[in-house]
Amino acid sequence: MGGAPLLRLARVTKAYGDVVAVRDLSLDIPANEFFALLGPSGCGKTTLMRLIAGFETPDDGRIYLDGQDITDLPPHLRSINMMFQSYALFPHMSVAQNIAFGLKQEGRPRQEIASRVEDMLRLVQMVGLGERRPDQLSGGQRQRVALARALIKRPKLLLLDEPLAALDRKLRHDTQFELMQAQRETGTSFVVVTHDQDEAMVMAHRMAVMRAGAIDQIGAPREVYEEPATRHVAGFVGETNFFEGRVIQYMPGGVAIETSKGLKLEAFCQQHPAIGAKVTISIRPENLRLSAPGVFSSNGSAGEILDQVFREGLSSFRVKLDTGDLVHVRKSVSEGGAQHARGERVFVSFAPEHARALLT
Amino acid sequence: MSARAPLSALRRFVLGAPALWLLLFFLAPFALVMKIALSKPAIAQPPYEPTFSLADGWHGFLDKLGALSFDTFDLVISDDLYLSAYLSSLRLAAIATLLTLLIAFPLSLAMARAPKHWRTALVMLAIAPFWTSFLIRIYAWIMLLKEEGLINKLLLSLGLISTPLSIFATEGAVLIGIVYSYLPFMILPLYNALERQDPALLEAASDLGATPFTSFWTITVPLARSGIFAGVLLVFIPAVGEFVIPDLLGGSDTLMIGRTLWNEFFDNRDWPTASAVAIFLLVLLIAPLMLYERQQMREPAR
Amino acid sequence: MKRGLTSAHLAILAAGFAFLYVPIALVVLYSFNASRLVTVWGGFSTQWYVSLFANEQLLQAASISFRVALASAALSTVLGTCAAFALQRFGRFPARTLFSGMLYAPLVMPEVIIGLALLLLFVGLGIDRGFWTIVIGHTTLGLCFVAVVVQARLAGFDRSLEEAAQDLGASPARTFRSITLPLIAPAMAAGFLLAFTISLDDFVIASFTSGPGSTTLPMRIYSQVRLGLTPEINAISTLLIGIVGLSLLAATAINRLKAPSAR
Repeated sequence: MGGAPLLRLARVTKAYGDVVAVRDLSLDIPANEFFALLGPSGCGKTTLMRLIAGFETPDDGRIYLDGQDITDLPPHLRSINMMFQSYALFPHMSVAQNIAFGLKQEGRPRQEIASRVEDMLRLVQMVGLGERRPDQLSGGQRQRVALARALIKRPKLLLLDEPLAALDRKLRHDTQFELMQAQRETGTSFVVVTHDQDEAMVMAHRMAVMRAGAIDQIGAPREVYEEPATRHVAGFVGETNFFEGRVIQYMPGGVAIETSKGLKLEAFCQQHPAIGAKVTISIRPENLRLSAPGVFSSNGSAGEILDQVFREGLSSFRVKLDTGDLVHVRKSVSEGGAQHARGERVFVSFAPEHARALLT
Repeated sequence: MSARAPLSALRRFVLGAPALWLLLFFLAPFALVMKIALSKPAIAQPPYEPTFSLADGWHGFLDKLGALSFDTFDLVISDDLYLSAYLSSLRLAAIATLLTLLIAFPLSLAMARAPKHWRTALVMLAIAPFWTSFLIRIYAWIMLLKEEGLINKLLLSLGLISTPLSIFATEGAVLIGIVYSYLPFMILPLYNALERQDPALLEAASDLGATPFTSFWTITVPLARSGIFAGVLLVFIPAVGEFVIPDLLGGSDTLMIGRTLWNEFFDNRDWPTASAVAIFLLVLLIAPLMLYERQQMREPAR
Repeated sequence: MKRGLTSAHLAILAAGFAFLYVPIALVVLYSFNASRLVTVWGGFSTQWYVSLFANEQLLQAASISFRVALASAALSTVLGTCAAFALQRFGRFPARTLFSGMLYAPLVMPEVIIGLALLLLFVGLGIDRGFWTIVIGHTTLGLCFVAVVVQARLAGFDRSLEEAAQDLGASPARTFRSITLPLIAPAMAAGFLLAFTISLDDFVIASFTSGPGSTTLPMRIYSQVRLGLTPEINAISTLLIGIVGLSLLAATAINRLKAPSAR
């Protein structure tokens, strides 16, 4: 991945009136990467995507594609294509005409267009459906036509706006793998904008978690999951339990905190908070231990099982701690997770290296 | 669409062409109507004085400006003929609007509750008469309502009446004409409002113990309010100024202001009085017109 | 909702549509009446259509009306479409309220007022009244109807279609030509048809704005109706209903064929 990045955003800012949608944001995306922009609605990810596509112009900062400054280039002159959330298939054109549209704008010869349309139809498994109208297609077929239409121009970068939002659950699952395959086969960099952390986790090589117009963290999905940089990231990517408190002591590789309810907990910490600083400990449900009272007695609290849900080989428990805090614990059934009954007294604890103390 | 972008040359044309057209041919003429309402009738061409001209120079202009007067307004206000024409226009338009609403509501409701694949066809059927000539539709009612007309013939031959009814050339005929002509304007907004209502609302109401009667008055009607409002304005405003219907279906004693204006203008050739009548009519309609505009702004027509 | 029509609904629909259509049907029926008395059935005949085509005055008025309607519908479509774009796409601009006010007011404004105001303008400007003054009058009304129809289509227009076209390399001008225009064309056609029929039908504004030698068909019909009922009026009415009916059918058919929704 050496050399200049394919796409570079350099300190880009965009405001609508008083609302700053993207604030002083920098980002590099290399060639041949599947990148995900993840964040809740209103975090600025859609604006960021529209800036890259050219539908918006930044108030400040520059955008480079392959080293060339494209900040002021209108969308139709950028070799970036986009797959719209609504798919935006032209309703008055057939599937083949939709797919051919981009090449027609380039003024390619008729025969080349026809053969490349056939190639795309094959890529998205739509051979023989070229004469259909968009309103005669199923949701999944429409999504594939939109993908083919955006890929036919062999863009350097493909933007995908919530590509799976309009599909039902089952189809979404299959389509994720189709998108990953299309990315591998074309070698185009894909930038997926999504609010669904599952999608980002499954598909992306790297992901950026956004909040309030800025990026909280960039990294591989696993890294972001295991080493969240902020409380927002920890809460947004995957499920987690939070304990808030103040630092009372430094420990090797971490800190000890005391919560407002008097619970003393230790956790790994990459930052260096001052004694007395407010921090939040994040601990994933699968990293919490449930044991009989008396087996462990530190880094946790006694509590009572509230209820239990079984799903996809995992047992999820809600436990009410004696401090009043509510925590989620997840165990795989093979670990014997199904052995706790409602109302049972347990001790909930965790190893400090599995938890993260976060400053923000 | 949010930003206040400077207008490019193309945009200036797209906005400017219709804006200029309407300014010149719709708005500006009202200033002239006002000016002529302040003039005196004259036996001349055009039949009023003073007439302004560039040749007058500044002093000539001022002299002529001094010759303008509110005499015609005094006349229009003091003469009972005009006042009763106004009042009777308002009364007839109000009654006709109410009748139109009473007929259109059940019809629109039945259309909105019809199976989905019927609805488009029903809407087409409801508005298609609007596309046939207005005069022809009034003419049809002359055929039906005249003393020797089809309704009387039918009733006589059925033995239901022994002497022909005289509906033609009465206010009743005018009301029928207005209701018939403007019915599509009432149906369309009502249908749009009713069709949008989720039928589950009524089911929820009845589930909670409402009788069909209560749920009609507490659910259906309040939710159709915007449609009723739009429909009433769409019928009432033009009906007040209607000319053709009272002229062809009404009697010589059926007073409506549109007809009065027409007669002053074409028969008496009294342009200043006709203009004053128009100004008064406009003043009368300003409030409903503004209501209508606000409605349009909030909810652009489909 | 999977529910059939109740019999009450059916009765209301039947009564309502009978009220709307029986009068028109009778006009058509009696145009084939052999009797000179309009309301006395004297057997089937097409003689009134024959005499219609011998009536020079009526034919001339019809020809003027059609030409006025064509010209004003064309002008209305251009100006009305512009107005719809301005309202729907330009966001806020100075005097937007005034602009939309001028667009909506003629839709309900009594025609006698519009007619009188226009006539006074033409007199004031010293313009001789005739063909073009009627066209101007009808365009003023027609453009507002076109604007409403086209604006409704634009309001439901998915802007991402245009963005998708630009994203695929179409310049703004090409985007307009290959995406926007084809998708609003049905609304423009409907607007044209509406403006055309309104012009063909208008009596009041034409009476104010026409001059010697430019008497329109509705003006002729009106003066004949005032003189009394004649089967000839039934015949010309039937022809007009037929023309409008056919063009409506044609428009619907065209819409069905090539107007997928732009939503």
